[in-house]
Amino acid sequence: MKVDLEHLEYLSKLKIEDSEKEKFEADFVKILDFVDEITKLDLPQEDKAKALPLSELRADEVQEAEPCDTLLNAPKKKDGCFVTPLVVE
Amino acid sequence: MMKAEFDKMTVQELADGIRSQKYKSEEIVRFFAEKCEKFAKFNAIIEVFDDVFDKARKIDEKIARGEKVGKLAGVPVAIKDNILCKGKKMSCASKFMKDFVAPYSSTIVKKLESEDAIIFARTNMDEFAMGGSTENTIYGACKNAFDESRVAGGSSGGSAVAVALGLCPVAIGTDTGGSVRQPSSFNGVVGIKPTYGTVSRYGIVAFASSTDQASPITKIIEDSEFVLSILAGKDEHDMTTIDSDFEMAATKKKYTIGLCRELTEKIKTLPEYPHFKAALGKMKQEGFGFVEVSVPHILNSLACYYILTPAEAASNLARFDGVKYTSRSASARTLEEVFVKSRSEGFGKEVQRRIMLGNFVLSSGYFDAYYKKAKALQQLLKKEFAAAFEKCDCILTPTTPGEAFEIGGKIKDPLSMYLEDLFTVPASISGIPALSVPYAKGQHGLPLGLQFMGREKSEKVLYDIAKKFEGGRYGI
Repeated sequence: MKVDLEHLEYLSKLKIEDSEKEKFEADFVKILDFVDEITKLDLPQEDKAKALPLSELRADEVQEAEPCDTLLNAPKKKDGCFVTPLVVE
Repeated sequence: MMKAEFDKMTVQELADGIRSQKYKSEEIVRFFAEKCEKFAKFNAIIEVFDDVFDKARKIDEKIARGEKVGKLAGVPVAIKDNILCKGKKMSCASKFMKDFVAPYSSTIVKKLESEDAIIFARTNMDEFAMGGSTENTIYGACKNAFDESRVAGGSSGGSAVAVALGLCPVAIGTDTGGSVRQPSSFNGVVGIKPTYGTVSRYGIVAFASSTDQASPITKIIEDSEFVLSILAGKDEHDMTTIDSDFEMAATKKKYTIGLCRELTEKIKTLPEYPHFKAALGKMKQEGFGFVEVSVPHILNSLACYYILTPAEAASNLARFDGVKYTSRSASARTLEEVFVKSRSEGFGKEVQRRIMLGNFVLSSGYFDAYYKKAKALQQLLKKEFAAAFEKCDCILTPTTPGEAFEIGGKIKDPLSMYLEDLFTVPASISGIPALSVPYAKGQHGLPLGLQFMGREKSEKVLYDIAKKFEGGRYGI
């Protein structure tokens, strides 16, 4: 199997070091070859209605949220906001 | 007076001793804290929290005043490093989260605290709970309690080793595909993966939301049952939680054990098969009934698992972006670079591999062939297990293919590490409970675990069967 590593990096917002690419791809292909057995199985279609068994939904009532400092772990913050590099000109 | 051996005592003995003022919580907590320091080289404990002595003293005072206290009053409980406890550090053993401080507490920490337990320490793990050896960690590979050259198992390796070494009476782990059961098996302790939904996932860092479950690791079965009953229950913060009925007694006098036909050949080729066979022989003598059952697709579980859980991980870990609560790459200049550089520098190799695998099986052109197919297989497996449990009370397997392997032995070959999960993933993707108890020592003198899988919500039955096995002499 061939893997488009660049596309996967793009989807994953990750960049594999050039020196590690070869080993990464070889391991990756080995894993894909292993899980590939599933594509050959003849299975009944998934029943979407049963896909997620959820408990009953709670009543749609406004509740007091527990106070939580959202910015507590922000690597960069200012005036109660997250700081990122400029995204608009 | 001889100093009490708190590390030889069960959770319930400690709780009773503290409540009856035979012991002070403070002396117990001090005993375990000192022992953690002495056994630091095992890399099981990341840190003992600094407020534990104050908290223990407060419990002792409360008891001295005659006030009512909870079921775990004064008992130290260690938690895996992916469980939030307000104000405490929590890192998922990742460079990316090294300095993260929990802004709120998980439901399970709240439940433990409401029973007056002392949240004692955080335990080492594979980064973001991905791995089967506790080698993927920034705190150094956790060592097996019985042989320092061998792995702890994982991902809850620190929790299992801590309990096995007697560094705490109980530790909480999380199990997505065997992460509580496998290290428990490797270290001769008791671990359970409860029915999906039994324990709230609120405040636990998500790996694969549809199979993640937290649970206790303990020395004995009775303690596992006791602590799980405290953790269990519906939670409005996790809509997948269910009502558990642990109080329901297991009433059967004679149980029927199922042996899965499709696994028989695999099990027979294992190096530790003679021990497994001997255990079956003993159980027959003790009056357990045996029946062969079929779970036709059980051997496809592993492939199914390594499609579904990376897919969920890829989605769950998208939120770690270098903006909200992780570290940020120092060299990032644009927003895109903040994402890509921070994630590439922050996540370890195994985590990156799983994210990429997940995005592969979810990507256009592969979604139907891999992800959809795996979801269909998951449903089929649930049905196959349900049919098998019409004929038996539990299905018995070894917990792992063998004893703990050597440190460094599998880490370079990810697929060989994945194959370790052969017996544990079927229960995970099917949502059914599975209990691992120690039962023998293998060819290198290391512990082996026996796994009892049961129908949904049959935890009590599994505990009862495991206790009856060997007349309760399940220890090693």
